[in-house]
Amino acid sequence: MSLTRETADVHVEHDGTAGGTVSLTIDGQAVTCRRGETILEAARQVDIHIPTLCHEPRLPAAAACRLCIVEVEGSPKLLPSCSTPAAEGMVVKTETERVRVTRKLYLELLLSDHDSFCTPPCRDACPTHIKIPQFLDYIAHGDYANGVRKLREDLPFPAVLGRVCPRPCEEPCRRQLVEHPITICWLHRFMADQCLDDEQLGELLLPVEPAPESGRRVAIVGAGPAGLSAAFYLRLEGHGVKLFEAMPKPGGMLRYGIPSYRLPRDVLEKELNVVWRLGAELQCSVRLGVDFSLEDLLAEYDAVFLGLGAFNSNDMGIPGEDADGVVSAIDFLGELELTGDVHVGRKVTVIGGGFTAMDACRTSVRKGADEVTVLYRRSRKEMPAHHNEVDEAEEEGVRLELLTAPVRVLTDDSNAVVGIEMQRMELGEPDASGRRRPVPIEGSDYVVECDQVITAIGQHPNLDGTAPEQGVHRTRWRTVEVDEWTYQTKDPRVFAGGDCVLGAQTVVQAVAHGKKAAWSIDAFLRGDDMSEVSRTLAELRAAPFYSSISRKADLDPRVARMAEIPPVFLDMTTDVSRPSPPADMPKLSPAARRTDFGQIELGLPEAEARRGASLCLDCYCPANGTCDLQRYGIEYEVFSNRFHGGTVHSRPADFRHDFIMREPDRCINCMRCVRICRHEVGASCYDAMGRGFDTIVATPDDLPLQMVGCVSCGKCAETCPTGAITTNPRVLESYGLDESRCMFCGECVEVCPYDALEQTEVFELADFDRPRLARQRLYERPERALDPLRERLTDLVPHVLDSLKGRGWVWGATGDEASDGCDDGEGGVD
Amino acid sequence: MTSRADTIQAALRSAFHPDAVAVREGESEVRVCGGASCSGLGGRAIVDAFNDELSRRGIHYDWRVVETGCHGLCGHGPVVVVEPLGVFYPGVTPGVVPEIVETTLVAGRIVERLLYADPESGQKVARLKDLAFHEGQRRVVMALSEEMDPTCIDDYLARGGYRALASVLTEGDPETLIDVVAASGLHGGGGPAAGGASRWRHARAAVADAKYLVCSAVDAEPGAPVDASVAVSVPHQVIEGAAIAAYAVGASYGVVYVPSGHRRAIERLELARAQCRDRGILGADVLASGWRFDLDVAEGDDVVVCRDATALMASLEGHRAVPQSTATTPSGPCLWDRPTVSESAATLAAVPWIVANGVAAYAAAGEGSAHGTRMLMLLGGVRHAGLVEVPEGATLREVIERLGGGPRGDRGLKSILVGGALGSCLPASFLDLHLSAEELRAVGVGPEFGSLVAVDDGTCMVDLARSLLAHSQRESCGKCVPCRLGTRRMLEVLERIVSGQGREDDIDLLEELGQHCAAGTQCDLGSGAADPVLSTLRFFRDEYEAHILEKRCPAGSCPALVTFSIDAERCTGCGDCVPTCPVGAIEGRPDQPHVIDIGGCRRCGACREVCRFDAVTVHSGIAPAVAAPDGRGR
Repeated sequence: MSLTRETADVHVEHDGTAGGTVSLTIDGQAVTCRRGETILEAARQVDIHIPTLCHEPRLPAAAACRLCIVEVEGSPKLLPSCSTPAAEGMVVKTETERVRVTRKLYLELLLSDHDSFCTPPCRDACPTHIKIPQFLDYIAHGDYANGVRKLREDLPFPAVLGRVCPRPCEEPCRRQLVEHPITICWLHRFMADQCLDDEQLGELLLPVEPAPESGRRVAIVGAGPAGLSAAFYLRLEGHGVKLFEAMPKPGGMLRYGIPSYRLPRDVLEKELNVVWRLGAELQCSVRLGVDFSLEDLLAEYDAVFLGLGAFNSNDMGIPGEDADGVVSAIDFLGELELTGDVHVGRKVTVIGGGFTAMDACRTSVRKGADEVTVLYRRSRKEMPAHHNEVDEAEEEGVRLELLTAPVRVLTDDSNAVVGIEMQRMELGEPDASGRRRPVPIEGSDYVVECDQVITAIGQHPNLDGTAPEQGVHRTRWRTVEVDEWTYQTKDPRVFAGGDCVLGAQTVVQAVAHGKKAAWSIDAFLRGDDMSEVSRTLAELRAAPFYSSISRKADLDPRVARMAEIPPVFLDMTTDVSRPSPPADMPKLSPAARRTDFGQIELGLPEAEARRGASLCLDCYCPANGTCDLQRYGIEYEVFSNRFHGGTVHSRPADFRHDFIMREPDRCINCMRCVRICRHEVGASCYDAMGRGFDTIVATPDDLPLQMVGCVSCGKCAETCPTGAITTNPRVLESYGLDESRCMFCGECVEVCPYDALEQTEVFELADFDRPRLARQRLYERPERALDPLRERLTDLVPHVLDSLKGRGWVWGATGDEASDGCDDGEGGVD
Repeated sequence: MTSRADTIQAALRSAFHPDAVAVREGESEVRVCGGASCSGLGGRAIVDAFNDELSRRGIHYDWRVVETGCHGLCGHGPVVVVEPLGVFYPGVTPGVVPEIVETTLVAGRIVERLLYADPESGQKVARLKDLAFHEGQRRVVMALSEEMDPTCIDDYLARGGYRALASVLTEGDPETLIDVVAASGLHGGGGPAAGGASRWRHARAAVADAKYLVCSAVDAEPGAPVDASVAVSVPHQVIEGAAIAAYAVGASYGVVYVPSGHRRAIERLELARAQCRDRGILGADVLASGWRFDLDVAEGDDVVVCRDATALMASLEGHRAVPQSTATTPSGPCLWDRPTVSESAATLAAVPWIVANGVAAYAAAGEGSAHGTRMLMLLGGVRHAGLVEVPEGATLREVIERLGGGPRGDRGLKSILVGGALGSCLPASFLDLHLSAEELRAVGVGPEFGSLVAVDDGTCMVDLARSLLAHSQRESCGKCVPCRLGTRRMLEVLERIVSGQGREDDIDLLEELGQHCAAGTQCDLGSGAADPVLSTLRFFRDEYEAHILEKRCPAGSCPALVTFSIDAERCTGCGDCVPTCPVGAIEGRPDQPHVIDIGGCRRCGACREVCRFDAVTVHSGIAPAVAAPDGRGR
């Protein structure tokens, strides 16, 4: 039997006495610590942070995760600092290249069998970052009103977006690893529809109580998606809002660009009612630069938000464009909305492949065109319109002609359109957008006969009402120039967002802009230094997730909520099952659609919606944001894993205990729960089982915790460095006993599965450790919290900070605090 | 002689019950090897067959049939030796027992037919001692193994058993005893590395209310049960060694830790312990000397990680067998917080011999400057495989070629695997390496290992590394990340290489993983697990490159990377292979050379087995240009 190699390699003094001190050098810094203390403890005294996953200051070292390895001069091996005693004259280096490379490898290994995800990809993909798993949970439970409240934390118009959104959230849905993605968009439409009518007269479904009136007033130019969204969130913050709209009715592109078969006008009206009922004022048919100027607004209001939209169509730039019968899709759709009718030719061609092109061609069909052809210069795959819409258009009789571009509009003597000359294209090299660039084929010209040409090749904002002298500068793409993070123009009082900043983009992007601009305006109105805010936000976005967490505690809550968390894509892997495809949306038949502007998508039946929502895999981790493995993964940049494709464990989660949830797939066998349960609690609920790769921490015979002596203290969840053990919220803190009615039969003591009741002389409730637990608000969340920023750091900052400090998380902790932790470890906690 | 000495001698004498040994030493005995391999092959049935046959003939009072300890010749079991002729028969079955009784026992003649024949010269070897395998060994630990019944304490006492303990108790100076052990340089097979005696000294010097001795019979590596074999063969010698060591360090209680899989070792040790208590050799008054020492046999976890003393202590204390990182004391890790000395069974079994024969004799057992002997499982492609005890400092050549008889068949020796699944594959050019701690360390092998495996040239080194790693990674206790996860990922890379899916950077990946496993784990299991991979990468890198870059297996053994074809000149068109092929990939007209359809062939090798004309040949590589005779092949 040899000594273990580690201890054999380093000479350790064994003088039998624990007294005295030793001096050593850590990263060039001289450190004096008590004899018997480990290198890790010595390093923490001088604020040198050595990463560790399995170290628990209250317990003897385990040296299982091996992340705390350091280089010690004279030792050929890297030594685990948590179990190597500091020795006189030792020279320790904690951050050498060799150490970093080794740590990274260990993290890669850990993550290669960590079948879990940090963040839900749907939420990352959505520009507004709606809390998708949470509201799906509400739908699954039939609690639609609270679902709408949850959703409106990030998106005010679920019924509208549920009809018109291009659904970036569904693209990355992990459900499609086994079958189809969750139909997130249809589901939130269903949820919102259930509440729409009730809300008209009843209580507004708001995410928070609106703040009291602040006395500040904000003017919003343009009552489109961006402006309305800004109005909603500004009203919630208590600021007065007035919207100025050039068109006769509010809604912007929602009303004048999207046909009613996609977005019925009654739905739009009802949903916008929320904004009016919150107290936003509206003035229609007034145009910036014609009826009023920016100066007028600034004289009267504390801030201005420009949500001007992008209503000017791009020109094709070909001869004959000014012919009779050539019309832009925006004008075409707008005229229909304004007048209730629009002229449609017999043979209509639509140029373009986006949403607007689809709206134009399908409207033409409905208005009685004999033949409608869409001409698009790339292939079907590259069409910006959602594939559903293209399919539906074809069902309705629209003909697609792909890989063709207009050369010239042909006219007769009266300058009326008779046809359009087209040229065939082929796909060349990918361009900046990643799509393959169309290249003309020489000599492939041909003529498409038609009597109307509708152009839908993009729009740009009309910025006539603003001028650079007013502080509203323009970019070279003819959009408003704003600060990337605060949406502030050069005039600090003027903010802008939506299509007038983005160029013609989607509704959901405009809504996201409006929301973030509203928060930014709120910060401005409350006197925050906006350049500082912008700088901080830029840093937070660029910096790794965790350094931002440790910094965000210093942030104003208003800034904190603006800081989007960069999604965490630690390269992990999963194996999901439960196949059962979501239901399709019931639709009007193509024949019925051809003549009718009625809504095509009829809405999901309730049973299907609830089932569809329950298909969500909840593929995110409750420990997201507090997970040590995640933090180190980001710190050591484990963003692609060389060990993919190997075996990954898939073990069932254990929700049998009412308070403690276990997900073994997230377990990294650090043994902290095992040790704390054995040494501190004395219950010994856990131990490692199995050998080799299959080693896993488990309860004896995989029994539920309440059957193996668990006292529900939650210490295992508290110490777990990942999301393998987490706690359910406890709604009740304790049960009271009505002693006037109790007859001391003792039945309750007998039947309690958790042994929480005890027969005493006074027959009281014996309530183990709950008062202390109740103080730990960290674990008492209204639901499984997802957003560390808004829910953990703003509402719970003091608690989170305490908890983080206790776990050695806050790197800026002072020496006093750090050594406090060590003292605890030395003295032992009772 | 003092009266104390007399008392002890008297106690020793009274412990011996000569009547229990029916036949005197050197008289007529049939010794059936009771080693793990021979008994697994039916040794017990042969003992019964001899007894039945002798009873049937009514001569069972003249002969004693003994199931002895291991003879070592595990590759030729079950082995039977008839004394006093000394003739030995390998591979005995119950069917030939009457013939042996008839010819050898009754008539005193040798059954030529059943003798061991040298495969090359065909020369018959009648006496075990004439076999180079036996001759080249030097037996210290196993000196008495093949002549004693391990279940019989009187056999041991008759051969001087427990005399060493008695003399130690008589002379009574533990310090001197430790000096003797230190001077002997005891560090035989699986023994403590240098500094063993200093651990004894520290334990001796420590002040404590109790001290313990732990004797471990855990395998040195997966599949090399050296210490368990010692316990099975000479259990009393282990107990005597343990008692002497306990006396030296001042321990009053000892535990023999035997993995639960070694049932026979547990049974033999428990029986031996019961006998010792019965005869006053263990207990409150050891050999009436007034010294108290008792010993228990602990049935432990069947895991190699218990080779690490801290893991063994944790297991003994009732916890999971996991190496502990809490600081150990100079005497080694503690059991129940008391000073504890832990040694392997093979080491302790050598102690009585050293005490009885002296330091000089023990030193002389080694070769060159090395002291003592080393116990090894000699395995792999050698003619004589088995459990051997060789002089410390012997060369690999002596062990492999002299004892093992060189590679089996017409194969050449390609590599020597020193240390099994936790060891290193050395190329054949290392044959002159001495089995001494210094030289082994120089080639990256630890001093403790349990087996030598001769690897012949038909073995693919990549696949060997894969199978060794597959073995050892299952043994990980799961504590250290590089061992639990790293070895598995290494295995996956190796699996991908042998199945022809290797990637260009796999060699670098393996090296990186291997080095981190070796450097970043706590115990020797984690570091040893990577050794087969790292050593094959070092010495047989070309094989890895051939697998990955050229998609061929140079040894022609990885099914995914070879091609089968039929040699048209040899093929007679007998057609035997056609129905044998499970996928119907062989076709041909009667009496015409047949052809294997390479696209359909699953490379199972069934046709090669069945072919009487050696016409099926294996080519290294996936699809070389194999020209079929009539141009039909691809």
